[in-house]
Amino acid sequence: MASPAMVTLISSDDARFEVTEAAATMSQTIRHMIEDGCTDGGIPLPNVPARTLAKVLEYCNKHAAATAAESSAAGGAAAGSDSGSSSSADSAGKDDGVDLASFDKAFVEVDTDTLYDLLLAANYLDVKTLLDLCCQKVADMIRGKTPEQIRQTFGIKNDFSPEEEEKIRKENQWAFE
Amino acid sequence: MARRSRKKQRVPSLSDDLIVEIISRVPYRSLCRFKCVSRSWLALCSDPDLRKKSPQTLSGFFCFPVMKTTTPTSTASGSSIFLGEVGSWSTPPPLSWRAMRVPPCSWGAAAAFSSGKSGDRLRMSQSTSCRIPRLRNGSCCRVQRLGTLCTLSVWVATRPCPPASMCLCS
Repeated sequence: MASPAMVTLISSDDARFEVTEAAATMSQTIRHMIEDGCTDGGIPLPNVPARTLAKVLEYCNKHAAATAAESSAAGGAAAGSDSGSSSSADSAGKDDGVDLASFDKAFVEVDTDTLYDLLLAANYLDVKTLLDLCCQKVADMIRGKTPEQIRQTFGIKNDFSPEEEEKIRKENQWAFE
Repeated sequence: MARRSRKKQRVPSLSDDLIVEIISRVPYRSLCRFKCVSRSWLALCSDPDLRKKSPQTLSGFFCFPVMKTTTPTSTASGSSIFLGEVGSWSTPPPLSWRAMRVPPCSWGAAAAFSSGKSGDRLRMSQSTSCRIPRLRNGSCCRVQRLGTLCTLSVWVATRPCPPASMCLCS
């Protein structure tokens, strides 16, 4: 088996990560850098610290591998049933899609700081599916919040006059009931 | 190496683009509530294009005609229409949910409900519409899936709800 093309990524705190090109190019930002031939000596990612980059790469490796497996064959008996999920849906054939979905779900089960880091990194690196995943997770976190809680969460100043706020609140009264 | 210790919860600085990505994924009800956050959020939440970004997360439901009326025959079929996102409503919405009226216009994609000789219809757009089945007399409160129009699941709750406490429109 030919060894896959590898690239080196350098985090903001100078940690180096060796990853397959397939995983790295899940990031459109990195893909463009590779296309432009800016890979000599590693690709610097000055906006992403090592801790976050490691996590993003965990995601990219998993998804790139799943994509590769999908395109190479339609499922050669996946060995190692170490998925710790206790779901009752343990059928004979393991569905990659299901596997990936549960990976995604577990992947964003992190504290909010880590989630924001991932969100910002996914946005900067332009990893579309990871960005979707993080945005959905944040959306799920905030969906039940009141406007005041939203202001606290995102550090937003209420710049309405009391009258204006009252008016908008009235117009959307049903949403508060 | 050590990260700043944060006693207080961190406040992320998100660009408007990211905020839009996030709020396009919250239910419609939350979105309307978030209009009260600030002027800029009001503008972001009021953007009619917002729901188009993530149509599959279109959420919320509304209820025609009103089941609250004590005379269930006040409408042709007595149907209540619920619209919800496909993903989250693969099973019927819980009966304990309060039904609410949302002006159809706030949905962007106009959903029109019409009663006619041939029965009630729900129109989602110029081209898609579907017929709402007539209810059999005496059917009890049952929520069934009618089909999927555009990206919405359509549910019909049949009336009457036997115990008042179960009524969707209490």
